[in-house]
Amino acid sequence: MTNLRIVISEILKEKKDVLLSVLFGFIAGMAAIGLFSASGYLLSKAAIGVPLTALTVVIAIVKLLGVTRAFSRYGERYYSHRASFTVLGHIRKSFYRRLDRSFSTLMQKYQSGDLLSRMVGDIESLQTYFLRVLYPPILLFFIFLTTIFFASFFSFWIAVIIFIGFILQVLVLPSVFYWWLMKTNPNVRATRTALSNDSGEYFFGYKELKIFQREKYQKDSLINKSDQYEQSVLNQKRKERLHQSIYTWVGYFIIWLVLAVGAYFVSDGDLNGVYLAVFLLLSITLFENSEVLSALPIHLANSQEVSERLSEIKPTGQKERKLTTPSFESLRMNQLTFRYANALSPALVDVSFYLNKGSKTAIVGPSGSGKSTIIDLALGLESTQTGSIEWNRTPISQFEQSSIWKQSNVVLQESHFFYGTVRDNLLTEPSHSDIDLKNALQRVNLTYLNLDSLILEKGSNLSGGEKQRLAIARTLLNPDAELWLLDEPTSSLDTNNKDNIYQQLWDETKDKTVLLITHELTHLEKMDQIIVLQEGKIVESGTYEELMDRKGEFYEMKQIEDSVLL
Amino acid sequence: MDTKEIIREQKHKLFWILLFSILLAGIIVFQAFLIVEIIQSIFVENKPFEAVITLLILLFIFLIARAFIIHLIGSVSLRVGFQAKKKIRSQLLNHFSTKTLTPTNEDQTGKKISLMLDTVDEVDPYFSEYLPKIIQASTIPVTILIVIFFFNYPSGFIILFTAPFIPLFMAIIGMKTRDKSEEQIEQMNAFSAQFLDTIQGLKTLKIFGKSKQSETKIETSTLGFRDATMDVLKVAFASAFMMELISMLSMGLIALEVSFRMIIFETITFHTAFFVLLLAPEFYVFLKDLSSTFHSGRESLTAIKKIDEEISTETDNVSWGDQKLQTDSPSSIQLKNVEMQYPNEGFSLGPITLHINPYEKIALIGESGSGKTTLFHLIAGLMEPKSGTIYLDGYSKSDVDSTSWFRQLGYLSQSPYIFAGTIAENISLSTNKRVSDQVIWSVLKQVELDALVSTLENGIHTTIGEGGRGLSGGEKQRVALARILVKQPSILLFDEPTTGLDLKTEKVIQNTLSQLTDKMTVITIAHRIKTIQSSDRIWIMEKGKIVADGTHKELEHSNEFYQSLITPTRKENIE
Repeated sequence: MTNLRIVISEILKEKKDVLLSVLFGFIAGMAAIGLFSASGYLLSKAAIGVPLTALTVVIAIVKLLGVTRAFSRYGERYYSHRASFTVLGHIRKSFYRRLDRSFSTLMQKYQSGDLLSRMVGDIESLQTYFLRVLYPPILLFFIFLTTIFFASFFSFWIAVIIFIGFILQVLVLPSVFYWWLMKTNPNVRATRTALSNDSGEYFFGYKELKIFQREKYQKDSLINKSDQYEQSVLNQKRKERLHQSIYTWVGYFIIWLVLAVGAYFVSDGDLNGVYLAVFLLLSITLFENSEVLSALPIHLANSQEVSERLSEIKPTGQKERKLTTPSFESLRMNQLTFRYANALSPALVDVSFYLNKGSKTAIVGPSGSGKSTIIDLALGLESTQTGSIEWNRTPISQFEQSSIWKQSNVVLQESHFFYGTVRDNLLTEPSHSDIDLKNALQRVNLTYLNLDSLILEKGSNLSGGEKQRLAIARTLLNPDAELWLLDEPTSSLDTNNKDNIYQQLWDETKDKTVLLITHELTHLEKMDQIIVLQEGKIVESGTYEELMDRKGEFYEMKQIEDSVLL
Repeated sequence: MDTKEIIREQKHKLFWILLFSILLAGIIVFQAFLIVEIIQSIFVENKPFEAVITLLILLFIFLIARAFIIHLIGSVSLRVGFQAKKKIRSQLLNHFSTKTLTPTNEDQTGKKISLMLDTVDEVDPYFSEYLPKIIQASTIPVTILIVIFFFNYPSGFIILFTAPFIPLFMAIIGMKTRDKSEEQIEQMNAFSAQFLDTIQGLKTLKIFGKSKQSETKIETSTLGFRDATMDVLKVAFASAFMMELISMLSMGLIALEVSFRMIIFETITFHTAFFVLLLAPEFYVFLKDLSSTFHSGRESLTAIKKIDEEISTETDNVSWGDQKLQTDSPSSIQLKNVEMQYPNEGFSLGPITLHINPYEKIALIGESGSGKTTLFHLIAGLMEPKSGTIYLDGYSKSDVDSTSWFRQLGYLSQSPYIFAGTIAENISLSTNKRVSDQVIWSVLKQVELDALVSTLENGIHTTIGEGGRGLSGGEKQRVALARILVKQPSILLFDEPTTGLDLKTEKVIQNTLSQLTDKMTVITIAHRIKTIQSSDRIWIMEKGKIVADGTHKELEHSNEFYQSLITPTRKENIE
């Protein structure tokens, strides 16, 4: 329930729309009740044979109520939905904020598709919370109360019966069904997840399954899972159906009771016969109104589940980082051991090295040896587990992350490009002129790109090499950065471009500090130190010549690289 | 898939719904009649309460019956949807099982899964709501209308004149909402795309200090999405408004009409008038019900169409026969004029003719995209060639028993799939026999994973894969190799599984295989000069064709492409 409090507080921000929807809903409900009561009154009066003129007022009321009802229903629907969708917008925004605040942990834990489905589908399904859970009971409360109030003037006992109906339909039945729903815990979601996971296994592992002759077996088990899922959906829906039927029947029963008690009082002379038809039509309309509540428990259960899933995405309790990083002097990695959640083996084991101001360091090793983790740790995108990182001899965890990023120039292994122009994607500052941008493009041999050319999502209209060059261009536009962290900056480039990019980078970073991560062993001759990483461990380090002379792992890697065709 | 066929299969259920609907119509009419009788007796005829007790009991029974029948209709409807979805999903799966090896990438797999789950779910409202409502709407209002006509024809005419406006407005609005809701879906897709784009690039955006801007963008697009949704809803509300207005006004009109005729003309009695007044709303309720399911019915039909499109695409079922292959040595493999095409990718392979003798070691080289993996899939019998024949031990593949072929085959790819399950399960997947823990440990030792696995709390029963422990690329490859060791195939297709892996994994794989390959036919997609030079024969592939076939010695002198590959300067030119 606590998770839904967030939703409620967002709903309360839209006070005006909420009030208007309750108001219009109330008018619409009362108008319908009035319309039918008035018709009943009209008919009964006509039966006794009063003059027509006396009835004209009632006739006018009947017509007016019909129109009022239609209009206010429109108003109710409009305002309640607008409130609901605005609230969803607020929730999306705050969800995004939470994501933004602790994205590195979240991105590691959740796939982006999962986050997307929460952001879009899950939040969308929360619309029922206001529309079907929160506001109908409030509305019905007012409608019933008003009706009971008026009824009590004519017959105390009929008012009591309607009150009992109200208690049953608005309070008792939804609560009992909700309790039942929670107790029997429908496993729809679980069976669906099982089906979804197994489908993934089947499609992704198809080749293996076929060769190991398990394909048919797996397919049958998948069909079985699908049937289980459908069965659980059916069970759930049958429960809903049963509840709805009981609900409808209770409504009928109250209407019947009103008729029976009314008939008794009329025959006894306690109630004017004219009102018998009025009360009957009134209660029929009233209990038709309350039908919406029959689905409340399901929607409540669903909203609760969804809001629970949403609140899983919460900012991690990061320590206060107040300090702004001083101008870069040195970076020290101290006995870092790092294991990603769930990984079978650690990504880094006891890694220590030191970057002095102005030094050039390369970390080499095959993919999956933990190289990129070092950059994530250095930027504070991952928190250290064992060991420490020091910026000018101060633990990096004390600094505000953005101040580290400001002093760094980073090329990530997978640089991201989003839907927008080349200019947007260069992530420029207002201080950059078009000439600066064009100059940067020229330095990376991308002169054929127009600053206003469109780049598609994930840069899908760029080749791997173009993406890398554009990522380098981003860094060239920020030449003052002290620390350059380059993760496989040229892996998809041809030799000529590679040479050019390294030329540009070395030109730009003469007195800067560089940490280059690569699995290729070219352009390393000038590095001050080369660190060879394997399975997360440092196996060798030294200058290019030292390592080649030693004829160890580095030398062997170099031999293999030379022997690779294609 | 055929919607009509699914409906036909469920004919008897729909028939029951029809029967219940007719019954319901009767109950509704009689219930109104009873209510009117009671009020008539008490109010007009001033009878004592005792006179209506029987009627009240009868009414009570009718109300129970009404609720019960509504429940029955609902339950049967749910079953219709249940059966339809089950059927459609298994049809879809059977379809996929024959066409899964077209060039798969993750995106396409994602689409397949979403088709299997989401789209099939969307089918449900058509069967469980729309169809039953159609049946109800075509029986109950009609019955009510006939009854009203019978008792008081002017009211019947009022209804008859106003009622057609409801389907009319429904149609007009249905058309309008379609455009609008397409717009909304576009907005939603745009929003999703933008959100995905942003979270995937969040790292980059943050490092470059741009995350504030993207927050604003997200906000703007959620508002856009809201407005688009409201546009659709406004149309829907307008339709509800019109229907409300029509039904309210016509009911008001009926009330006036009957009271006028009672007072002025005195042509009808209170009994008839009240009866009509009670029945009229029931008429509109069923029409309104139908219109509210109209939209979801429409959406279901779109989903059905989507599934239909998928199922009607061509499949390429690999054909097999009954001929068992001999088991004492690897089968010989022969391809004759084999061709393959991916219609959407503009890629074609072949015609390829080649012969592989038992125990031969062959290296396949070629640039990426030249069709090496496709050729492997064809040889492995995972794909059916568009034309040409594959012979195994001289038998045409379509006559060969698939089990006896796959029994011989081992396939090590660049990205082996690890299933959700324990390490032991993943390794013993390759054989139908029970594999003892001892064997598992010994193969783990061979691939040098035993030390790592023994540090785990549950040892070989540790869950890996989806939902379990994540494996690095090298670890995955070694588990896949362990599978092969358990299976002991006699023909091995080797899709250069060591690319990009660490030296240790590579050494482990090389060492393990060198002990086995004497007893096997091995075809390797190779990148290393050493591997290529040590093979019996080399195939060079270019643009889907085998352009050269010979030993290293032969090709070294005769083939220009091969020469360019092995000369030291080639590196600069190729990349």
